Amino acid sequence: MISIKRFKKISSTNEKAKGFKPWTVLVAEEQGAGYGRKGSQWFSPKGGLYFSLVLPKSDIHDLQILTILAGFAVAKAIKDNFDLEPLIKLPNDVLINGKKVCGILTENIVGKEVKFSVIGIGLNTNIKEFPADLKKTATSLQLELKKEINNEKIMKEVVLELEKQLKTII
Amino acid sequence: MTLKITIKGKEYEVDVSEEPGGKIKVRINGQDYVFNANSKEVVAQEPLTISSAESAEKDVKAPLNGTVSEIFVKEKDDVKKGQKLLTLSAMKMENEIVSETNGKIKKIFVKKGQNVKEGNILISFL
Repeated sequence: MISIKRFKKISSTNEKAKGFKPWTVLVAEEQGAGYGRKGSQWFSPKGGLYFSLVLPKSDIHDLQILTILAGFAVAKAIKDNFDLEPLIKLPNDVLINGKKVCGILTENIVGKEVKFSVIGIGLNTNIKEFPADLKKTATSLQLELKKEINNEKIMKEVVLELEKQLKTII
Repeated sequence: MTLKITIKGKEYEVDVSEEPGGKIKVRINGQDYVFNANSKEVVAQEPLTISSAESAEKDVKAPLNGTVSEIFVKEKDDVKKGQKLLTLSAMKMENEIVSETNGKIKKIFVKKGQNVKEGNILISFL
């Protein structure tokens, strides 16, 4: 049911996802203008894992737990694959050793009711270095583990877990 | 009859009652205003409530409590169905509010950074 669209470089997987059908996943190797809440920038160089999932229309009050479920799915994938202790900072960040490794942005498109939603996940996997302003607050799986991460495997595990979780509320 | 009315994000408690001599008393947040029910003054009052089902239908309301993070349109703008009007940041989600119809914007009731409650009118259409 889930279809995956892959891109080398796009401005933002969340923005692009708004033109796709529900249950489409868009993955980019790099984002030119990745963003978080309130338009803040999301550092998105090659090496990181950036993907968005389009969801069908739902009750807006149920959507409030979407982000938490996504955070749980990411933390579970990290815990299942690596010897790390991820911490979910509710509702939309995952931390490792006190530093942000993942950010989640849920966007709802709303008219009289929710038309659809997009959950965007930015996971710092193979990022070797952060700019000076992020060094103290951000980390990557590669920096923590000193090894290359298989982005494809992690993405698929997160998507499958998300699908499982979301079917309980949508 | 006590009503709670929100105008531009500010809540007013309005109580309307009949007074002796055919007068009408309107109490707004504890302040009394007494009118002759038949006076032109009353007729000339600007309606505080949503005036008709038709205008209410065209109003864009906040789907949940939150903060207006961006406004993409201005008053008198012509907008198309599906066009992005504003974003509302709520429960750490960004809610992109889009127009349900083609039309002209009459009034924008909120500003960037303003907190709104679920059901508050954000934008009205002509």
